Amino acid sequence: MNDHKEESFVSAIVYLHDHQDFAAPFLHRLAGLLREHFLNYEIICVDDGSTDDTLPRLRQAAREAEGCMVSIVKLNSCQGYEAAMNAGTDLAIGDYLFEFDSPVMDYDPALILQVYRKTGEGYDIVSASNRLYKRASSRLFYNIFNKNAKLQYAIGSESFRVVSRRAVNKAASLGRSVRYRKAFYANCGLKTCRISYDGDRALLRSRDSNAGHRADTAAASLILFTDVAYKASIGIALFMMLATVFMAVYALVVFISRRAIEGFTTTMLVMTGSFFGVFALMAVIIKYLSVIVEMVFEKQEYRVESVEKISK
Amino acid sequence: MKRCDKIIIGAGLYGLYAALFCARQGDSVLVLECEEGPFRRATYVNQARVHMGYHYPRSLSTALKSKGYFDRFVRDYDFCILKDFHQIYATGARYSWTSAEQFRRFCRNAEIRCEDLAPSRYFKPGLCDGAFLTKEYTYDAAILRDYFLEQLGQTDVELRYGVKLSGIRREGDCWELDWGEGRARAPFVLNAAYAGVNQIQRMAGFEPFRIKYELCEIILCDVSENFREIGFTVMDGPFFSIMPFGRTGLHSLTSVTFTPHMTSYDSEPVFPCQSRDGNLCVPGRLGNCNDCPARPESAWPYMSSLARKYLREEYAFRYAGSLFSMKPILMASEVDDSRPTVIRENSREPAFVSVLSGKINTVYDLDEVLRNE
Repeated sequence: MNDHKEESFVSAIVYLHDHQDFAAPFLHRLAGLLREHFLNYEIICVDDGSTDDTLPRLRQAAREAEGCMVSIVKLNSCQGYEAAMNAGTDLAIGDYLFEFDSPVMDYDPALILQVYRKTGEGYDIVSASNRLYKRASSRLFYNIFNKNAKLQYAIGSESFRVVSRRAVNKAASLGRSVRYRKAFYANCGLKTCRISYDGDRALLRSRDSNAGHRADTAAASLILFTDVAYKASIGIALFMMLATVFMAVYALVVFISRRAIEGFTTTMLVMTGSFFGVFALMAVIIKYLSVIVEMVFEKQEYRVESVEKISK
Repeated sequence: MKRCDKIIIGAGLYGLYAALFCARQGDSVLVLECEEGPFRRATYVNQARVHMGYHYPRSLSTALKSKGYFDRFVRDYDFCILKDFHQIYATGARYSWTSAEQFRRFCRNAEIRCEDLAPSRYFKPGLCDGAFLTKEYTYDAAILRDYFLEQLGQTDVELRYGVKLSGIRREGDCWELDWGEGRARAPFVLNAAYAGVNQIQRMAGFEPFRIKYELCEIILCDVSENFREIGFTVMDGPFFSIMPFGRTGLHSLTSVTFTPHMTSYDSEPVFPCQSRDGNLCVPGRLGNCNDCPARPESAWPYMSSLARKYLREEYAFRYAGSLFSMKPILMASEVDDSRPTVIRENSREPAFVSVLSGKINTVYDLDEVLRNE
């Protein structure tokens, strides 16, 4: 029996945020698959400050999972996917780490094994992505990102991925917390591969959560990995310089021809336009600064309330 | 009926230390042990660490106390102690309750040795934020046991093994103890049964200690040549320790998360495995987990993965065996992680004293209660 099972120790990390309907079924299916195909494994559930019934249901499911080590990491508030995932991967001890971006399983559990086996072909990072998942905002983001980031591999929406310990160590050796794991993995120099599947249509809408944090991650990663924001701010600055020059010329003309009152509308337009430009610039600069501050002061990037170990 | 000055229940270190101490001050002593020999449980099955206090960065008082007894213990039992290895403490970069800087400051306050080492020399990148060379030793329980047996052999202390106590009664100014084939009485009883402390408390009609029980596994390892003279302890959270195990030539591997297999919060431990061991162990009378046929499967896959995650590849180790024992933990000590030694005088005249301690070198705390005025 044992000789059919995979020898490597695998850690499965699951991100949960207000997923009360999905937590327990996911855990059962995952545990079932791991039990069947792996000798040694652990499951780490990271609860990103859920306010619904996720946590108690998760505990209950963990108690029912026969022969499986389940750790439940409870963050003390909602801190977003990247921070939560880092909390999970820091605790994991496996040779290979599964990172599940959500407990919505819109694929056949066998896909997990298929993705894992791909590592045997020399890939350090293998991801699974749902072909049907096409949210406009995500598409826009990935378009801008891939055009500008010039990473080794293009990135896209993913459901889960498996990462080798080597890749995880590489992240750690950069001495910083991973701010945007997909971009990092795509650019770490190790071989990457993506497997696409057609997900369950009924579940398409269930997987998004935490829109605010996602937008923040998107903005931060565009700043970190691309020069989109830099280009945009230079563009705004140039435009405003032109506007100012135009204003100066206009003012001069008005002064010479002494017809001041009539230019009021134009003046207001230019002024509001300029203020808008200034604020836009400031927003970009502030974001830059905040990212720099975060990287300089390497603080504890997630705050854990408790780690609970449940095993049978 | 045997009459003596003092009866000691339990032939672990605390029991035999007490027996020797009393015999040397002229008492007649009887030691009752349920196992077939001394040092069969917790005295043998533990990390074999002679604590200097490093373990308690959140409880300076516990640290200072360990440190206070460290030198005395090392002086008294030098022959069983292994000193010539580098004991390296490290603080985990994530999930640690104590940072490298806090650990440094703690050592300074406790005035214990703490020299900075480069974490990258021993640990994989980014996993530990500090590594420190410390002064801490390990003792060899087998050598210590033989020493006590030899010393006790020169006194008239009587050691009785395989004694399953069935009753403890107060008879006038004495305690009377019954077991299958014998009976003894004395005006002084010391309860040093460690994990069995509450079953003795109950028999004598005293309040139990507030304890939780953990069924713990210590893994013994063969290590690579370059590893022989090094011990690692990663603090202060879900981490591990791999350090020389006395003078056996093996290393012990333990982890905060995986060493405890099961936990019981009952006053006397109740575990599901007790129904599978053929009545060797029942809630009211704890068996020996190490010899038990129902002992859990080893957590080696977990503990070894955890250690390998942190240690650099060149520090290699292989599985050599597992030891299991029951560890009682005082409920009061969770927050500051202190490990106080509790000595409770349940009654005087006749005296009934109970001791519970998780550390070997605080054994000297007993002197005070054992000394005849």
